[in-house]
Amino acid sequence: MSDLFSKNYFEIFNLPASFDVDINLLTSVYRNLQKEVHPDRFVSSGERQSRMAVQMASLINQAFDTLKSPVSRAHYLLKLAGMDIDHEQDTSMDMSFLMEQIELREQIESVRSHSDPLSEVDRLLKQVKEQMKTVMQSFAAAYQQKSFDNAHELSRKMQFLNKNIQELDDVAVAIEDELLD
Amino acid sequence: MAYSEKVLDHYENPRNVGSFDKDDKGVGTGMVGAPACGDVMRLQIKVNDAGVIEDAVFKTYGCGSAIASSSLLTEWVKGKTLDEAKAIKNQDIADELALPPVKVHCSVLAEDAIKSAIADYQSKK
Repeated sequence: MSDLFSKNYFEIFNLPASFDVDINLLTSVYRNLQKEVHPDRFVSSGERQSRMAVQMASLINQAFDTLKSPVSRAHYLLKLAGMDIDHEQDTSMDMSFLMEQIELREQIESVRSHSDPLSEVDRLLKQVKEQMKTVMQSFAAAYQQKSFDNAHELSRKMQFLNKNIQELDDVAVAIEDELLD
Repeated sequence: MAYSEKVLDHYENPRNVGSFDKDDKGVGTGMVGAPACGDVMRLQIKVNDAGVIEDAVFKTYGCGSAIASSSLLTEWVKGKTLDEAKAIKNQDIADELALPPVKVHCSVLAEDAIKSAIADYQSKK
């Protein structure tokens, strides 16, 4: 188990380093690993062992959280491919994508003046999720083909779309709350 | 985090929000985005035959600092030549607005937006 610290996140779960991850499999391996390093099992093993178990549990959690979400999984894959994207200052992007983003934000902003705000939010959510699906598929393909610059651009689009989904979810919750009042 | 008074002023009363026709030959459109915070900024300039920026507008979706940075920049570039506008540095914006270090990237976004708008205008020539 202690060789965990020299493994990358995919290796920890015995998965191939690919964007397509079987989340059910990931989750079940995660649960098994957490059982193996559970502090209760190290109560009588001495301080060094139990401290190590705590560190392993924390690493496993971090690895799981990173691989679970598509956005952070894509980010991590790019890092494995040697791309330095932690401190990116590059603000240039596909212009038509940014135009779409402005348009979408305008639509989200004016959702409340719509005759049926909730169904408008649902419509936009569906549209963004559809776009996210397409971008994710393209990312998986680009990464597999080692077209990392392309994959990087797609991962940045995923970040934007992810934000859009969060924002739309928040708006939906806020509208529902108001309807209940 | 507390915003400076200047940021709040631009945030509450943003100057020059709007849009120009991006297909107009005298208009340069700059579009930039910051994936990490999801900010999108569109900055447009209207340039006369003498190469002077006559008017500037923006639309920014992002935090208060990003909105203030683009709002301030549209004020600054009006009446400037393209070369003068190109020389504006993000640090000038950050200093004027007293942006804290974690928000300096918002001023970078604004600097990139004006450069992108100038490049777009020049590519149409």
